[in-house]
Amino acid sequence: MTDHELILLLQQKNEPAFKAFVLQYQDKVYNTCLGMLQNEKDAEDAAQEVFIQVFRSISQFQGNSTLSTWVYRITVSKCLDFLRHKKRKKRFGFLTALFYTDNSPIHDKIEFVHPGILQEEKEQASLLLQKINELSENQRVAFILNKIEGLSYSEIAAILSVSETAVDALLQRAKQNLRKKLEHQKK
Amino acid sequence: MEKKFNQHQTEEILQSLDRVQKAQAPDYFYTRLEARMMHLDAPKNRFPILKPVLITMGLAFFIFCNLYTIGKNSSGQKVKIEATTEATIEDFANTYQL
Repeated sequence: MTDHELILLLQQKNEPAFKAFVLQYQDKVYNTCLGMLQNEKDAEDAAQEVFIQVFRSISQFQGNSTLSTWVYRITVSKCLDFLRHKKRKKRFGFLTALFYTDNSPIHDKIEFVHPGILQEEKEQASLLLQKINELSENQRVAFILNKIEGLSYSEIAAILSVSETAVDALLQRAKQNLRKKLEHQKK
Repeated sequence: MEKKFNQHQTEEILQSLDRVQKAQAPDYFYTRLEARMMHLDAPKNRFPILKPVLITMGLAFFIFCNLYTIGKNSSGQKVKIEATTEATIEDFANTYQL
């Protein structure tokens, strides 16, 4: 089935087409969400929200970009919303802790190991992922789409609606910042 | 004494994501998504049935309260006005010795 046929069927709210679409994109969306949010539960939650958003707004899809680019845009936007919400929640962490009766932790652990990382590189990758969280939103998105999702500069440029040169600059700055942060990191 | 990463170690850390494999969505992802979407739709179907009933009940209660208050105030005011009028006439008569 071509993308055009799939879009037409999705616009008609065709259920088998939606299932085929989810199966085709679930790994891409989940992997991006996992890289951005660094938490399995949050990543699944955000990935589900992405597909719900696609189902609801497919009628507004103009076809100005590829379906894949459009899905990645929604994914990135959902993940950034998720992170902003989490940041707000953390700010009120002290107050929530006062009224929290449940024993479960309010905030997630800091250390995260991506399931696709090789055993011998787990420690280093975990540290790098921590430092990626400290980057600005644009640099973080570009770095994750390139390193974790393996997208090319042109694909990232289409998702972020910037030029390929801008993506290159973003990635260079991200690497420089990460280098600085790691050099100042205690062992 | 605190130790920091040297240049070589920093580069190694930066390259640690170069060989990362893509994570796969958890099992039964679509089933869970379907369940969530059905759950999201459910309240929307129930709400339109309850909505007119709740609006009618609310409106009826509001009208009843208004009528009750108006009724109570108007009867109380009449007695008060009559009493005040009689007392005023008596006072007037007494003052001017009529």
